[in-house]
Amino acid sequence: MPISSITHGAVDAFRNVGGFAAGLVEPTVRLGVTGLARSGKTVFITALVHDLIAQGRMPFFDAVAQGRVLRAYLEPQPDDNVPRFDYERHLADLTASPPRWPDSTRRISQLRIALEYEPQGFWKRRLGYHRLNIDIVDYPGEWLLDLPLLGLDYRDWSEQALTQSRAKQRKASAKDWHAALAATDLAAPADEAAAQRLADLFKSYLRDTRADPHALSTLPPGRFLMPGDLEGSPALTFAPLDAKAAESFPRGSLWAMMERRYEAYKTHVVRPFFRDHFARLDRQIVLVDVLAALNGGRPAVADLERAMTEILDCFRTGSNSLWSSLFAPRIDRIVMAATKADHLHHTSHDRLEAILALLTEQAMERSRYAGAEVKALALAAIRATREGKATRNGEVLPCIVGYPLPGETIGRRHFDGSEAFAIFPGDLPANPRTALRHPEAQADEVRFVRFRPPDPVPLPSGGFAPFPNIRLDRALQALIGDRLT
Amino acid sequence: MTKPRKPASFRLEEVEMVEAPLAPPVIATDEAQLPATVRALPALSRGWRWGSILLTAIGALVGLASAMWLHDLVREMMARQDWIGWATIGLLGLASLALVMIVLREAVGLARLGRLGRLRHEADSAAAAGDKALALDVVSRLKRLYAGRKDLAWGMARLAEHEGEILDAGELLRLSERTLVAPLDPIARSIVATSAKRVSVVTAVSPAALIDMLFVASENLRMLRRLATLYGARPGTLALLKLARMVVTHIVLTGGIALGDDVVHQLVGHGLTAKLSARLGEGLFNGALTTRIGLATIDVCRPLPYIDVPRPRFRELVAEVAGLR
Repeated sequence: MPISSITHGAVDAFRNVGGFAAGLVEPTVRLGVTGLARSGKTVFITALVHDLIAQGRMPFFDAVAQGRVLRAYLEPQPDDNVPRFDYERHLADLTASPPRWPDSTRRISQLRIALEYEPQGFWKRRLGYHRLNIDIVDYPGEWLLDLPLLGLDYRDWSEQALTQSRAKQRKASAKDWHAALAATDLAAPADEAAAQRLADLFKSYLRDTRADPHALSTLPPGRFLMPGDLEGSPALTFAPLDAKAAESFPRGSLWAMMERRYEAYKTHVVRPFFRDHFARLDRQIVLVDVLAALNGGRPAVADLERAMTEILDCFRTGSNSLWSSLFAPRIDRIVMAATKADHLHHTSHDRLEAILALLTEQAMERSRYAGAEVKALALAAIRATREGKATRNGEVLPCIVGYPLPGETIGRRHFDGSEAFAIFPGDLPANPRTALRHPEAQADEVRFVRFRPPDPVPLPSGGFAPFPNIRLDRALQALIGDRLT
Repeated sequence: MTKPRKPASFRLEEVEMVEAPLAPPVIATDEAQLPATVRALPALSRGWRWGSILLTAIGALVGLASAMWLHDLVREMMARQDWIGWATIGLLGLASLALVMIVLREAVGLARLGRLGRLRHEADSAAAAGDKALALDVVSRLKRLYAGRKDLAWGMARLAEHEGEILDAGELLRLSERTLVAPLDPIARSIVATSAKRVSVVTAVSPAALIDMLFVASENLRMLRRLATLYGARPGTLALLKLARMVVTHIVLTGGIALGDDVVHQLVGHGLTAKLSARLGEGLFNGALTTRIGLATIDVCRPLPYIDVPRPRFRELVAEVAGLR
């Protein structure tokens, strides 16, 4: 279900007109950073802001490379009811000694960065446009999974959730919940205690599947995993129930209560979140952690593909007409990024990009057809490794060198995080279809190890040097390069 | 298909670090490695080349005669007075040294021009094929070409700063174009504009046709030399003539393309001006011709293709000549 159908109200149209008018006075780009949990949204935003402020290592971001960006700084953010993105704390994490990755995001936050630049266009110069605001929103990736729920009613969702929980790799974690479900009478009068118990069992099942390192994309509803400020409220106390196809239940039954709460969850939690933060995006970068999915084997990749397709289906993309930019702006530039490209030697980046393109094939096709510009690339917002060559049995292997995080393993070797190692993560398949659709892809063909962030380089003038990155500048150029001409 | 390689880990002692992911440059300067030239027509076999035999023979005769004459000259001088003889020998030595140096310089100039042409050729194919090894080779040679130039020191530093990052062939070429070649482009344009301006003015005011013909020719050659020097060829006389030939060939080859684009405007404009004043019209025509030659020279001399920077267009340059920009 497209977001458009929740923003077609007159109020939203007026809000969009207001946004358009504000954009005339003070040009602003709303950059959507989309990605599932652990795909690197927070790191991406932190590195992006840091690199923009320090203006370094971006030879292919034209405005910076041509020296036209005079300065970049953080602005007070425009929405008063949303917390600010804690840039300083995340930066402190990344520049600590030893450096560490920021914690996973637990609530929504927002940031506005202003770029002052020298415009090239005749009219822009005459009209005095020399500032561009970039609004970025960070949020727990789990919440993104709720987006497809907007198109599902309670019955469909229950059925879907149950089918998923009966899959082979999830069955074990869902055992308790299934047992409780079998003992529940759906037509019985609503009972808060029973609802609470079922919801708790459902939540613990969700948590279990998420803890499994190989299951990648988590299951909706996202707030059950990352409740934010809503912990314990009735809108978060429901669970799918097992009903026969055409069965109907009286008012006041357990089913009816659950159904009402599910709808409330959609109305009061999911819808406002997406209306406020996603419906008015101008540009979008989709971060996909392809490597972690490849680590998890074929089911994880299939899972990721399904999740990404469902989520990306909900965004309104395409080129803007005057009418649409007034009332219902569309996302007209999209970058699909396979993150953590530094976990791989650069000679394999082509293959990684090919796999990414296949994973998001549907979404890319749809957006291109609607007139949006779509670009797929392998990206690392912070490059944690260097490259080297190792010889094994007379065969030269292109390696990456860095400090693997404690707890990572490869073959029989366990890493404790104190020592640098050179890793050859295995060959990605030359044909991306092998990675995705091959019936018997073997486990352990590839093993991607996570690394700790690179050692920060303090500058004599205070602060830290911009982080090394891979193609962050090209992503930026594709996203907002045209707004800085 | 080769078997996929298994994951592995190594201690740092076992690993050869590649600090910057630069592959060793593959030198592909051999003529043999260039793509074969395809001739449109089979070469005509002409058997013995009597003409060249004749020329060689005559040349040898003249050489012998002049050697005899010099020998006699020295002997005569010696016979007259010792010191005059020695002075003659000294002057003779100096003259031959100068001759050798001139020949050497011409050879070096020709070689430099050839190198520039090869560089451009390989840069074209590297950009077209996305060949990383070839692009690395092109860039390292380009850096050697511009190594001592003070005006490009800043660009060199920028290039060195970023070339160790992860780049594909197109990006590497784009980066080098932007840092090393693009700063030269405005200078090249102003050289062309200056020459075109001069040619226009002189043609419009000169009293005799012969004078402006000579002036146009010399000014154009001067422009050629300056442009080639700017892009790193520093041609001698022979190289300059060779360059002139290349430029003419280029104009002939690309003439059809240019025709559709700009020449129509030029003809219409020229026709109108010629109605006002014949001399003025001629001046404009010669200026436009010089501009076109200048553009072709830039095309021939520029060591990298236009990737990031737009190719200068005839119309823009004419505007520059007219002082509109």
